[in-house]
Amino acid sequence: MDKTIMVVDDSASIRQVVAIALKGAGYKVIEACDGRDALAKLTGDKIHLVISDVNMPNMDGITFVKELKQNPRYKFTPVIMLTTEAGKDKMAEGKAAGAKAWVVKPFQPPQMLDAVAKLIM
Amino acid sequence: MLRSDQWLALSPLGVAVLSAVLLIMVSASVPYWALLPVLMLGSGLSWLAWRCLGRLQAQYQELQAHLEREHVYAEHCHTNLDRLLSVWLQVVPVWGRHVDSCRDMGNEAINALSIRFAELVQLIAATRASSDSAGDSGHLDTLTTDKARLQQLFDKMKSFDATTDLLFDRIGQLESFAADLDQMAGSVASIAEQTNMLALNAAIEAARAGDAGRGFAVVAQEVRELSTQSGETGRHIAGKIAMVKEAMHAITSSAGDTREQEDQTLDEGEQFINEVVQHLEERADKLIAEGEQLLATNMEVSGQIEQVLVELQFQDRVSQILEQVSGSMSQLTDMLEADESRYRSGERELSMNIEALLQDMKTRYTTVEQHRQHAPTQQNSDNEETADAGSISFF
Repeated sequence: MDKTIMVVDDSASIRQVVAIALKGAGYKVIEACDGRDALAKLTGDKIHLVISDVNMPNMDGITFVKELKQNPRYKFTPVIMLTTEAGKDKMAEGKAAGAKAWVVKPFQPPQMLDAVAKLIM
Repeated sequence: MLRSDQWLALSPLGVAVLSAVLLIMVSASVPYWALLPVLMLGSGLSWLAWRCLGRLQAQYQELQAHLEREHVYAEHCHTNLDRLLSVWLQVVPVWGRHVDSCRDMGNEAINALSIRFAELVQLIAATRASSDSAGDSGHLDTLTTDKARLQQLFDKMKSFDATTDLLFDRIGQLESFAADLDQMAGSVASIAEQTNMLALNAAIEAARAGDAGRGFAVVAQEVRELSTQSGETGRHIAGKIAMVKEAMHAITSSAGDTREQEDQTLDEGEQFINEVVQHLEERADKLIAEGEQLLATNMEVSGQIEQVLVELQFQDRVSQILEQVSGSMSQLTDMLEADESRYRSGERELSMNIEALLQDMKTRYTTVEQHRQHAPTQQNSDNEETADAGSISFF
């Protein structure tokens, strides 16, 4: 498969769960602990999909997605928001920022993999 | 000594007495009994006024006592409010620090656990991959190959055996050749003897011929010597052939014994190796079965650990809930400190707005559980504003 997915979450346990599920399905995974760290790790290489938390220190997920979409290289990279945020208002913010899907934690890896398979470029 | 209010209560009686005196002075013909109603009216009114005054005084004293109690209660309330404020402003920040500490410890521990579990999952996957690449079936294939190679070795050894048979056949043929050679040696000896006899006859005939046969006698003598040498050579040949025959017989006899031993050894070796291979195959089958069991257990353990990691997601939600609780405690403390300053400066109206605080808390909630716990009775309306845990919404 050899496609690369960036996982952005300040919780190491969440990153581990997502990374294990994705690696088990054959994806390559890049981990980042917040929005700023994620932007620093966008070196120009192809990222096929981004999975990002919303509430994070330094730079939150919504701001990160807005910044990501400003970069022509990643303008069309699909983004899945993976968050405890369940409010419809926040979901609307995510959609406006450019996210393609909203997953409310806690999640089950198979559901996440289904969403990834539907959206990955 | 009467008080002024008591004098006031007695005033109707005084008015009645004064009225009676004035009537007597104005008209002496007024009968005294006519003054009685005036005096009775005055007395009655004074009595009523006195009674009312008594009651009013009692109520006044009761009211004063009540006010006194209220004042003491207000003083207590004031003191208790000070204490409560003091308790809140001193204790709640400590609780807040404890909550933050618990959150940090929980995050640190769960993150460390997650990393360890993830490493375990990777280790198990690597072991599985290594096992797959080496492969128990690969071991079985190797064993089958080794068995085939051993069989080839045996076939070669048997082919050596056939070669040895051929060699013995050739030696047997040589024995028959030796018999021929023995016969030929006998023929040579016989020819030499006959030649010797002929040479002897020729020498006799040469002697009879006298001088004419002298040269022929020399030739006859030479022929005799040659026939004697031929006879000797024939005997030597026969002797050597006998030795060769004896040696070949010894070789054939010895080879026959060796051949039987070799056959027996080969049979025993083949049987032994077959037993060893069979034993190895049984061991390999057992190892494969154990390997499959181990692989199944391996996958089960890996799956369980992955499920544990999934369950550890609770820490993320707990952390965010505790963060919000800690933030709200700080916010409430700030509000109380501001109100305390105002209260100390003499303002009695507190600025704290509980509804605003609750609404602000609600805007800071991130999890479904927080919304649910905020107002359990409004759960249905909250559900309309929040998505379910685990749900996926595509835009």
